[in-house]
Amino acid sequence: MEEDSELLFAYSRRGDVKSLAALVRRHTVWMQALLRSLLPAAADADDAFQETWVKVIRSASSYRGGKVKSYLATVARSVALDRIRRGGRTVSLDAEDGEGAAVAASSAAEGPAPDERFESKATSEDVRRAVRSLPEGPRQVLLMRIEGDLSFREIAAELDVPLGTALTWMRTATLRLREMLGEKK
Amino acid sequence: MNEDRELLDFLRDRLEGDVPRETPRMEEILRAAEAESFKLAAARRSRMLRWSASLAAACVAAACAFAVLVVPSQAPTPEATVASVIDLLRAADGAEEESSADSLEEMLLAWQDAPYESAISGLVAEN
Repeated sequence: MEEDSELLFAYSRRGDVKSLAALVRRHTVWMQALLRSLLPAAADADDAFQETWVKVIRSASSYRGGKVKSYLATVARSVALDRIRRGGRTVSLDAEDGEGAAVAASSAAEGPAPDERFESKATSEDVRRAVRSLPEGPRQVLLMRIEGDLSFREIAAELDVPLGTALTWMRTATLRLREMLGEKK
Repeated sequence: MNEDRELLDFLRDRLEGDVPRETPRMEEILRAAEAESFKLAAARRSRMLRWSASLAAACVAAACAFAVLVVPSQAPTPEATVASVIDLLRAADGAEEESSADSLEEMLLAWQDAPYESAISGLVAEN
């Protein structure tokens, strides 16, 4: 099976649309999962999916190598955030953001230990709703970690925050989700 | 930091679990890909044309340089050209033999005198 980067190069250098189609199919599921976690309406997520690929297609000639999935996740996230902003919601990645700081403080103080065994009967929609309810920063880090295969260093660079903040947001997200989803046992 | 791998796997499983497997808007995406590919191919062709034009210009420049710098070295010198012209003029004026062996100055003097000599000999003959 061809590597992602080979497929993207095949399209950008030789105009091979079949290679691009294979790449799109290969990355459909996780990208849809990422977009549906950020955008509640399925139609919005589909629009964002198309917009993400059109952006990737238009910038394919400037692709010089590197992890394709991380690159796609970054573009998809940026498209989704643009849509959220256009929709009137304020997106804040500030660690001192009121909701985020409060959740971080309460979760860190009262939440279960991260290494505690996790069991849940939560459905996909429960999980998506819980993820959407997270403050912006923790939600971004969590999704980039789960679906984008990005390292914390890459996530911190992408979000333009210190590495420590990205790690704190991840801890906030996991503690909060344990709390919300673990109750359904 | 403990990443809570079990929780992350659970979340990934749930988030991807009910997502449709078929790609949405595939036709639109591929149409955009074809259009962009066409644009890229046109840009490549245009770059190729520009490159070919540059190559052609470089070839012409090289040919001109060859003509200016190499060909003249095999051509007759200016002096030899003038000597040949003078020989021709002298021949036209009635000189019997070529004087290419003479110096250029002598040839010029001889040629300048030739019209007067032929005019005088013409007058003498008439009278």
